[in-house]
Amino acid sequence: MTLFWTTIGAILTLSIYSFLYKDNPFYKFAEHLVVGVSAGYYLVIYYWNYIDPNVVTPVFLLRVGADRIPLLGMDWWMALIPGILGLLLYMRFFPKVAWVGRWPLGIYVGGYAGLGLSPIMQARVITQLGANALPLAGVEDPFAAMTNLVLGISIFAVMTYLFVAKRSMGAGNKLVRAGVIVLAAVIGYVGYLALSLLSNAGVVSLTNILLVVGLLGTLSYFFFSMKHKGLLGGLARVGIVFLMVGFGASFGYTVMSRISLLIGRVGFLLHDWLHLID
Amino acid sequence: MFEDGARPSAAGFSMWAVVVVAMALAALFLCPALALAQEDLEVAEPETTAPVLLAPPRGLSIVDTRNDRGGSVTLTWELSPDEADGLVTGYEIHRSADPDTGFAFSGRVPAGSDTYRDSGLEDGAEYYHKVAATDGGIESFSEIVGPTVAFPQWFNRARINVLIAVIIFVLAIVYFVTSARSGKELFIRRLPGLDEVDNAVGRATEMGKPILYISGLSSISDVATIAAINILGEVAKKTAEYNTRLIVPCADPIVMAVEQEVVKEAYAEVGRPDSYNDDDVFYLTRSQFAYVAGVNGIMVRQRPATILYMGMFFAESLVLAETGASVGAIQIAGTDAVTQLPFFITSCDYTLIGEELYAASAYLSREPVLLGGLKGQDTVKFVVGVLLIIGFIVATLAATGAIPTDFMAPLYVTG
Repeated sequence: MTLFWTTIGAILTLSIYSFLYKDNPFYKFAEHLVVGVSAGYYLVIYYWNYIDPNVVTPVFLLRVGADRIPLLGMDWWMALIPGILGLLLYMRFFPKVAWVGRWPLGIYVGGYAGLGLSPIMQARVITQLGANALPLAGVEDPFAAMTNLVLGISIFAVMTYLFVAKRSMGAGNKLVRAGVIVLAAVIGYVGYLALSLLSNAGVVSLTNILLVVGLLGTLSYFFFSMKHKGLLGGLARVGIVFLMVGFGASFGYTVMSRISLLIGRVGFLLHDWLHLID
Repeated sequence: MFEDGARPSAAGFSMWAVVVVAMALAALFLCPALALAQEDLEVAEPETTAPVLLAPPRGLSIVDTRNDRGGSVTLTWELSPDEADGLVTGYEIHRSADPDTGFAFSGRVPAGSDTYRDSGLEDGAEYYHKVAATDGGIESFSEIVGPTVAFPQWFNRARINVLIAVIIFVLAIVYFVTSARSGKELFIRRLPGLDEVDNAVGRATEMGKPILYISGLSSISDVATIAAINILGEVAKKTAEYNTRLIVPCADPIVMAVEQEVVKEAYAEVGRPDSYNDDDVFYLTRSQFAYVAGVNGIMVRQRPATILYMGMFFAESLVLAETGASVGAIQIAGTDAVTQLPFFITSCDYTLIGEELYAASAYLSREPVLLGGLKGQDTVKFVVGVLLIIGFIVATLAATGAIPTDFMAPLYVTG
């Protein structure tokens, strides 16, 4: 009997996979079967998980241990109002009073939106703000030495480019300008080495700087009230780079988990059904 | 012992009987003696290993837990002096409604803890507590403290910052809604994905094919679903104008009811109530992959020219979007599901990322109420950005010792 049901499962699995080739009667059969069975299954789930415990039992029945006595429960009036609102949804089937069916929808949607405002403000705004208002220096950071190196080189290179190369060499000679920037970077590195010997190097936190810059940039990207030009535009571009790096990492991670789902299904076919692998 | 046909002799039987009676008598007298000897051993045992008497915790004080919904009190005490020697492994809290008797175990905290929140109490009832330092065996109790009464607070003072933030948000919305209603032009930057909605509807009309609108698998309590319903209203107006078929398979019965109303309203608003077909906005199933199978079937058989994915999506996102791409549909997606956005970005023509989804309905409709909401969100984002900049400057100054404390930190704490 187990082999029979395993074979049914395998045939349905292969029927669904046949969609990879093209739409066909096997896929149609499996599709309609799974949609129909799941819709019926969820009807029962909805009744026993929502309607029975929230309306039927408190209004019409009283639980005494495992028994249910047909009496008004303690909180029957609290369940009755939502119950009536739920029934009003069915008014939409009667065209003359269909408008009444909008009342429960309005209460439902408005209620959820209103109730969600305060928790979202707490969890997604204020708590996140606290978690990201981080010190950019004065904390231990595994990349601190590298941060100072990058910052030293970058600042010196940019300053040199802005105040020396751009003014004195014109806009045309890109090769010379690139050479100046490289030279400036080397000078910046030597300067960094000298400074690190003289001062307490490693106090700037690369991790925190990346986090704060990424957050400000991403926040700027989702600012809709101004055109993305100038400073806001630059920040927004930084933000979209951070977003895409994050999405790329998420993509790779999720693809791996989907591969494991495929492996599970192939394992079912080859192990449980065909017994070809141990 | 007995062979077939043989009988035991009378003498042999008597001997066995004497032995059995003797053993019974011996057991009768010896067992209590053995038991007494065992008790002696148990009593005598502590004499060989001297008991360690722990110093109890002192200064026990109990107050009603502030800023809660009732039903709990908070106990604080001074640690047992024996903690320094590593003798204490934890503290046990006992409570009773009577100071003289009936103390029952309420909870345990590890060594080093000097506070405990005792919950599950009845509001308005009096309770007495005592706390014991324990090494796992011996318990050394503090004095009994009480009576203490638990009661709820109407106002959670630890969330005043949340209240202020909500007030700023609501005031900003009211201000911008009023401005928009008075005719003031409110600017919203261009959102390329939404500009394409018009083109996508036009494409479907020209090709004589339907538009498929999928509003995710979440319930109406999800903000993304509400945003998806708002966008559906605007899309439905356009499909009604162009007389293009709009198919909306739903995964939630309440969402289906709302979407039927929204689409019907949109068709009525543009003067085409008769074009609305109730059967085009229908319930499919709640089951995730059964829903995917059904929608995929619709895609390959109906061949929609345009597919819009708006709302909350889970693992089904890539399967849906890949099938949509395979039938040659132009696809526009919008979701705040961070883990699903990469799949939509790679397989759809345009993707609305996170909050762009919430902005979409205001962008499409230009209705004052929705625009006001969007501007209100931007105001909060601006305030958050400013607070963030101030926050990390102050945190940096505090961490490097330039100022004594990070005075901004308490602003972010909520209870």
